[in-house]
Amino acid sequence: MFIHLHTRSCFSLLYGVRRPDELAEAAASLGYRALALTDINNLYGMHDFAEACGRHGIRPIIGVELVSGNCRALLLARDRRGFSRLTRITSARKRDPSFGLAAALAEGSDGLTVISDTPKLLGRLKGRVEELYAMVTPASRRVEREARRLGIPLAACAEACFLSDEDWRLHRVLRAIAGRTTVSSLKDEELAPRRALLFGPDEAARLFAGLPDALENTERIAASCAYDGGFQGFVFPPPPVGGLAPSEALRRAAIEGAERRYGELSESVMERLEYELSIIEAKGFSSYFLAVAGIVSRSSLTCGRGSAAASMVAYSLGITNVDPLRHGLYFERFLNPERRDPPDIDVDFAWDERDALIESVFREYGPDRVARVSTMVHFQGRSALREAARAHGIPDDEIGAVERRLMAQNAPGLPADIGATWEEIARLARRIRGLPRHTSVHVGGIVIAPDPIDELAPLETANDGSPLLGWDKDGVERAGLVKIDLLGNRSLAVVRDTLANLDDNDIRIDPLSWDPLNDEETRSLLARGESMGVFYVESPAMRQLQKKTARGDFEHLIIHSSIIRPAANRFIAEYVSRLKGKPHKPLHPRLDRILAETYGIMCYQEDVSKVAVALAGFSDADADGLRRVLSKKDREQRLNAYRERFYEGALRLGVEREAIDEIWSMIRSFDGYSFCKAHSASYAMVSFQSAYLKAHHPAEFMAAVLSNGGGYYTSGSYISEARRMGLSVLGPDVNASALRYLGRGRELRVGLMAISGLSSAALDRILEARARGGPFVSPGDFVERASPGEGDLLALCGAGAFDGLFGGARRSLQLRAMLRALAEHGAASMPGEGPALFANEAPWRISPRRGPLSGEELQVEFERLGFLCEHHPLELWGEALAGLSRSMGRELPGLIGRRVRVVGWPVARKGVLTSRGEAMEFVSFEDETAIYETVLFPEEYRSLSRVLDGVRPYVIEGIVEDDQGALSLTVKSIRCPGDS
Amino acid sequence: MERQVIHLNVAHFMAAVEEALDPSLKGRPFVIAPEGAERAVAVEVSRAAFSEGLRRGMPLAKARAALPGLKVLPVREALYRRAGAALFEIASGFSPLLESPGGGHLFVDITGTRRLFGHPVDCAARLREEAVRRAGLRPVAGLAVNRLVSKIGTRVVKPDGFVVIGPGDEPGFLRHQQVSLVPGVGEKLLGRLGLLGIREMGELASLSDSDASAFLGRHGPVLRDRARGIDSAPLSVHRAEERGIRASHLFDTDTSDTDEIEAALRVIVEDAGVALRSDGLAARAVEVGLSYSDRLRARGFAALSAPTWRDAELFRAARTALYRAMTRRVRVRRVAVALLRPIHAERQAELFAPPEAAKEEALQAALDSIRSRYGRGAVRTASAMNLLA
Repeated sequence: MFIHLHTRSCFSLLYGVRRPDELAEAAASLGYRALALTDINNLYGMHDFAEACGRHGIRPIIGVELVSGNCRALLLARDRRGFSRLTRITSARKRDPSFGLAAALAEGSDGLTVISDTPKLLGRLKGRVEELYAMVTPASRRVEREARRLGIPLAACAEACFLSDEDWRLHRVLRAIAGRTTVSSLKDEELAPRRALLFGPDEAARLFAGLPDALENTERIAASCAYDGGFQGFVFPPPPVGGLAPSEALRRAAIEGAERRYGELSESVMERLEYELSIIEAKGFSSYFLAVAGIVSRSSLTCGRGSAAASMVAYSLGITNVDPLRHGLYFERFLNPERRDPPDIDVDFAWDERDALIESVFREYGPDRVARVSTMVHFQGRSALREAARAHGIPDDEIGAVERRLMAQNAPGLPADIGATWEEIARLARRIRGLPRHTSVHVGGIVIAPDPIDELAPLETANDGSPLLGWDKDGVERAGLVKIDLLGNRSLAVVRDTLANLDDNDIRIDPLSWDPLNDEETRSLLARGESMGVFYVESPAMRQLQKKTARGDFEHLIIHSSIIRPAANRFIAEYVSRLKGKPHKPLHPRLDRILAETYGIMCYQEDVSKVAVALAGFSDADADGLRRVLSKKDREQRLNAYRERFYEGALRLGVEREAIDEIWSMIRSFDGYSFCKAHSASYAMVSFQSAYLKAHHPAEFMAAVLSNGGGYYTSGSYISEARRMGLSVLGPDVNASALRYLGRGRELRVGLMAISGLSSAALDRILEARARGGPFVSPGDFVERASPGEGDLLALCGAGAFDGLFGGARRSLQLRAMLRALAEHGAASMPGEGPALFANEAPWRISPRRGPLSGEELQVEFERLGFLCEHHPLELWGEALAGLSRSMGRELPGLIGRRVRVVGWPVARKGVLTSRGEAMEFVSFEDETAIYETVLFPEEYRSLSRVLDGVRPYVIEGIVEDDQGALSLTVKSIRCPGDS
Repeated sequence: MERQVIHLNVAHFMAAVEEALDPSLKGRPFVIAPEGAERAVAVEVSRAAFSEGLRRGMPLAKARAALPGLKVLPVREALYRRAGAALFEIASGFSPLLESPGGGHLFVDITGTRRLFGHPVDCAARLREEAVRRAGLRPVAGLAVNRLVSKIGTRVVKPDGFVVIGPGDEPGFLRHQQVSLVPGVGEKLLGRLGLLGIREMGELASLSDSDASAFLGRHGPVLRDRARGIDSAPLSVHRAEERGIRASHLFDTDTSDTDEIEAALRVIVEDAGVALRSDGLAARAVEVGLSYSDRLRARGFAALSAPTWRDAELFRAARTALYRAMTRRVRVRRVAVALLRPIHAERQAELFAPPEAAKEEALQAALDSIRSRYGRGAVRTASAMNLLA
């Protein structure tokens, strides 16, 4: 029977329209027993395809359609060796600019079957490739004669790309997107044939009736391609050099490290270490631990993520920083004898050190043995609509207008009067949504292998030139490659920079004896929720939770940073009540012990597995499967199967239906993302370090937060916070500012990095000139030594960076003087003009000293910095706000239950869906005195969210409510100042 | 001799023309937009519509939402062209030195016409009156010593009025005007002037040469001079012939279909070709202009190897120019063609021309004679037919 050997899925990017599973399903239902996937120059879809074939009971054939210059060929893997060759050639096609298909195949084609319809290629490969066929298709038999002359057997093929006629329309849109053109300008040669359908065996027999030998060959080829892309064992980093066996090297390193951490090793520590080491060794993971430890040792500060933080070996090696014994973290969540999946050690590094770190890994292991993991970028609803519209020649401003209309509508479907063109675009966009678009580099995933990686997996080249795997993290995992995640974390840089800034100010904190966990001021700051800028606990929701619970100890912080999940709102409220003494009884006696420390509420990821085992009799492996499914994108279907088993098991064990319902809904609150306790503990440690620094060294801390680009909020919000903390914010100054923000005592000096429009070259020159020749003394001196461009002067002047130099003259006059100096300098540096550089220097000091900054000066300063140094940005709206009677933010605690009018500058917004699927929103505002939280319930959200369309002040009316000890304003109306 | 330049400007020109034809429209808000087109935008808004907040280029749907029941008139290009020509004609009676930038603007240099038409102020007033009487259009008028000051004058009194800035009064008149009125000052320059604390023309006018260059760059002194009202440039007077022969097509619905755009191009090339031949001219170059859906414009140019009046050759060149212009993936709203650098053609038979050329010429002559008897649309190239269907 005919088998499709030439099939393109949507992973033939911006070409194919069907997912591999759709193709596999269609082939199975047509009665085929096997199907090949041959995407153009890549293997992106291979694992999805193999899995889908398994589900639909057909055999996958793994291949690729290699196109290079005028040549093309299908390459099909017959066995593991052939697959290795396939990845090697595919990688070379992507990475080697001098790649030639004929030469690559002639060099070796063991285990590969090659089918081509390029006569030239067939001629060159004849006698060099053992399994070589000439491609004949229903549309073209142009190579037949040449093949018969050369004695090359024929293979019957047909490009299969579509499952329905409608698919072709979608294909055209994708081609137009790829070519950045419009569908009506596409040429035929850029498109797949309209009839490139996956047809059935009967149709195949009819189409190839005149070519019985070709049909027979196709059948034989399909039968011979036995490689199915399945898992063939883990691939770990190579063992360390030096002769020691990896397990022995790991043991020594772990024990040495433990002695550094604990001093003399107690029996319980030794016991735990031995236990962990035995499991690690038995599973063959020793070299992986050593590789991660090696990477971590090169970095200033790190923070382990995920379940690895429960490992004492990881703690001893310095990969993680929380003592698993002291905080009751269970190693089994990370590794246990039953688990089949690889260990996953993810580590955070200071965000600005990560790139150099990854480079060092490439250097250490060799560029052919390390590769970064890719991630597939898919069309989202918005990009699909946008691109489909562009492919129809709609200009961007109209697209934007339609998007705003759709957004304002806040309901699915299109407005009735949108017109036929947009209806067609929207229809196509719905299908484009979810299709893969291009690969990108996964934020931190790398794979280290003992052999050249291109023999194991397809490679391409990332934008920065480094080797990039042609698979995403799931593909990498399915292929058995063990990845290491090196992730960037801003707060680690904040802690590092604060410590460095303190060091410059002659304040030293000894990292070994530093114990923020037991610092009273730190705990109290966290308990008050005054944690803007503090790692992981600075979001409005988290600060509100801190205020409600009024707990700032480490154990509670671990709970809080775990329980705060999008789907867990209801349980958070219950948690707070219980913490405040509301009596409760466990949902089931069996859960009593498991959930005791979290007041009977499921909080950590592992609680899901523990509950499934205890309550529904799941095996450890099944329970772990349930936990993992909850975080998958396509969870719904698989989750239903688990649900049935959960109910069945629990009923069998005599649990009441009501309790099961309640527990299952708690399990569902882990939808999307959730954390294990070890991860939260690891993060809470960094939270404590940053909270300590905020409590004791506010200026240095806030400077480091701002220098690292902040976190949840804008720079302006951190500046306001700094002012609320009683710090003086000193503006940027060419003579006093460094590149970064700096703190000292109660003063925070804005860094030159804050000035938008200042070129980095000029910035470097300013700092260098100042370091070499001291402060700038005049406009001419500045222009001469720092060689700024005109744009730099505009930026510096607007930001007020010359205020010091000019003794506070009006900034427009400063600018005039600077531009004059620049013009004179330009004229003087013309050849032959002589050295009279500062001839016009004398009258540059402009008097008189200015009064307060004018409205225009403030406006420009705001444009340049994104904030005002001496004022809240509400100052810019002074006129519009004058005469408005309003309460101030800091007065709200005294106004509980009252309807108030306040003015607010939006600092954070978070939209959520209610349990009924209605949109509502939490918005944080600040005024000159305080930051405060508001909520727009669905009804108000519908009518008011449109008003909130920019970063500017709003006049808000609402009712001040006390929600379990945290204040919130329930919004009733919002308007812009000046509107009535 | 003191120069005297009048600037006439009919505000909301297209709408004003419609109002002149149908006085019942006066004072009513309405817009002009392509008929029946999906996603149309207002090409012009009436004065009353303008004061209700409607603007040119606003999507019709949005305009309608703002003013329910809004009246929408179809675009009548030929009519506006005729009205522009009428205004030009009236002004021609006062001076041969006219500059017509289009869109209801007209500059008239009446220097030295005192003996013929009396005092410049009277002359300008009369010109304005005639525009009202003969064309039904009521332009704003500015009289000053040059184009620059007269134009600033009308911008100040717009949408209705007559302003005279006598010789020597320029500094006083301009001093407190906003710098944004200086020709050449766009948003960016305005921002720069603001940073320098310069808001009124007088402040700009007072800059020294070196400051003007230091603050505003190479063109600083020119801008400064403009703020002083200095403009010695003569009007750019063009005769119709030199401007070339133009035709354009506005699509009912914006399109990116190249077949449709080419078909439209063929029609307008044929239309312009008829005009070219009836004037006994041959073109030496073709320019194609496009307006996209988002109102951005693009132009493409193609020179002809030899002057020609034949549609087929004109179209080939126009097609080349079209693809030079059409570089964006955005729908096209209007396509226009200009047959440029026309010269008087010597249409005698070329003795040694190849027989195909003679055939083509015979065909062209036959087509033109049909068109002259039955109208331009009577015969069309087949590929242009689907557009007209």
